[in-house]
Amino acid sequence: MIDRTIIESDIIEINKLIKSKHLSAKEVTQTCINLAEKCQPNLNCFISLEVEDALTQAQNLDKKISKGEDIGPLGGIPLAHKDMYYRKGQISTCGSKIRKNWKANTTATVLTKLDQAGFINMGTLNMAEFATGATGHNEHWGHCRNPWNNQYITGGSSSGSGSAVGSRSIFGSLGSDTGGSVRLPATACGVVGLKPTHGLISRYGIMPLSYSMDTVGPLTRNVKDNARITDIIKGYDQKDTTTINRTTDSYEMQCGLDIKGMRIGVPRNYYFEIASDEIKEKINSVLKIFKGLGVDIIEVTLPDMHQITHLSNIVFPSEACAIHANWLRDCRDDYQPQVRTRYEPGLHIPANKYLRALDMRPYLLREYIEKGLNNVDVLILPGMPFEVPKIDETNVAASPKMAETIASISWCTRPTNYLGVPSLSVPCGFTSNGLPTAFQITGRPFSEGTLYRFAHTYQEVTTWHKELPNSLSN
Amino acid sequence: MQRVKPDTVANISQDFAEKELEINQRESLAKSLGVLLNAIDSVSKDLPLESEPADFLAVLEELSQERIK
Repeated sequence: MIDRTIIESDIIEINKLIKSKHLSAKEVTQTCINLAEKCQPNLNCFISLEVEDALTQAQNLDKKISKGEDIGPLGGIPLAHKDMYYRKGQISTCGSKIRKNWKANTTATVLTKLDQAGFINMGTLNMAEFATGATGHNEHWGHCRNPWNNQYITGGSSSGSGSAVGSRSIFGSLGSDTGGSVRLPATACGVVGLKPTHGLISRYGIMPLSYSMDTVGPLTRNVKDNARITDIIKGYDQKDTTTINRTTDSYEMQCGLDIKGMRIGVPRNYYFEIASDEIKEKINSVLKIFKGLGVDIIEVTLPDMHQITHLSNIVFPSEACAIHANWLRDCRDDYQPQVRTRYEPGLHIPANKYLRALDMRPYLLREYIEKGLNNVDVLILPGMPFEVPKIDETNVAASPKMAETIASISWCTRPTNYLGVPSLSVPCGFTSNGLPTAFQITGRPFSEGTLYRFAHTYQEVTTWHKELPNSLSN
Repeated sequence: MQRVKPDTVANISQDFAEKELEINQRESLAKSLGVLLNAIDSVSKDLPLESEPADFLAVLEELSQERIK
C-alpha cells in the first residue's frame, strides 16, 4: 500500500505526508531504492546509485521531523540528477570516458539550493556523452532505455533523467537543455520537462556545452512538482553572470489560476512540416481540450524558423568546439564518433560568422515575438514530430544519416534555445507503438508562470501524466 | 560554386588533429557548412551594423511583458 502511494503520488503530496508523519522519509527512500534496483538492469538510467548515503540522509531527516524541525519543500523527496552537476569532491563523469574518474572542485549552485530544500540524493544519472545526443545512446556507459518499452529510445541528452522519473524510481531530476535535452526525454518517457528562459536559473557548477544556449531544467511526474523545483532553483547567482536579477511570482501558486479567455497560438509554418499524422492528431486533441476550457485558439505565422535552426547550428559547434578543443586534439578517439562529429564543424566556422549569429539573436527574438506572440499568450507545438523511434532505428553513429536523424528528432525543440525563450513539455497521450508523446507550450521570455498555469490546467482535466509503465501497473 | 571547398575542410582538420577526413566526410561537411554560412549572411544582410554586441539579457527582459491586448 505504501509502495502504491509512493509510485502514484507526487512531490507535493509525499512531502506533505512525510511532514505530517504519515510516511517516513526512510520508507519513501527505501521504496524508491527498490524500484531503482529493479529497473536498473532493464533501463540503465543510473550511473551511480547511492543506497547507503540516501538511507542515511532519510534517517537524518526523520530525526529532524521528530524534533519538530522544518525539513523544507523537498524534504524527504528522492531525486537524482544528470551526471554533469558538480558536487565538490565527487565524481562527475558527464557521461564520458574522458571524465570517468574526474572529481569536481566546486558544487553547482542549483544543487546547493536543492540541498537546502531537503531532497534525498539517490545518485547520478546516465546521459549522452557531454550532453550531446538526442536519443539516449551512450557507448561508454551503455544506452539508456525507455521505461515504457526498453527497445525504444529515451530521448536525450538527459536520458537517465527521463527514464528514472518515468520509471518512478525518483520523483524528479535536473537535466540540461541546449537543443531539447530536457524536453525530448520528457516527451519520450511521459514526464514533464522545462527548458527555462535563458538567465532564469544559474548554470554555475555544471558542465558547459554551449554557453549561449545551455539551460538547467527539471523533469518531474507532473506540472505542479516541476513548478516547485523551478521555484527553488531559479534566481540571480553572482557566480553566473548570465543570470538575471528580477522578481518572479511563485510558479507553484500560478498552477490553478484560471485560463479562460486567454489565447493560444498555433504556428502555420515550420513546426508541423515533418509531423506525422498521429502527432498532428494528438496536438489537435490538446487544442480541443483547451478550447473546451474557454481558451481562444488562433493560427499564427512565425518568421523563418529554418534560418533560426541554422543559426543555432553555427553557435552550437563553435562554442562546443572551443570548450573541447584540447581534448579533440589530444584524446580524439576517447569520444564517440557521433559526438566528435557534432563538435568538429566548429573548427571550420569563422569567428565573424559565429559572432554575427550571436548578434542576430535579439533581432530574431523580437521578430519571433512580434509575429508569433503579440496577439496570444502562449504557443502550442509538438514535442517530438513523430512517434518515439526504436534504439536500433537510431543507431546512426557518425554515418551520413546522423545529421538528418538528430535534426528531425530535435526539429521542434532546437529553435527555442537560440531564441532564449521558455518551453514546457507536457505528456498528452500515447501513439500506436505504445510510447508516450507530448506537446510543448512556449511563450515570451520569463513567462514560465503562464506556461505552468496552462499546463497545470490541462493536467487537471486529463490523466496522461498518471499513466504508469506496464512494469508498475497492478 | 560551392561556398566551402572540401579540400579546405580536409586541410583544417589535418592541421588540427593530424587526422585525414575521408572523402565523403569532407564533402558532406563542406556542403553543410555552406548552408550555415549562407544562412547567416542571408539573415543578417539588411541589419544595421552594431558598434557593440547587443545585450541579449536586456532584450529578454524587455520582451517579457505580457501580450499587447
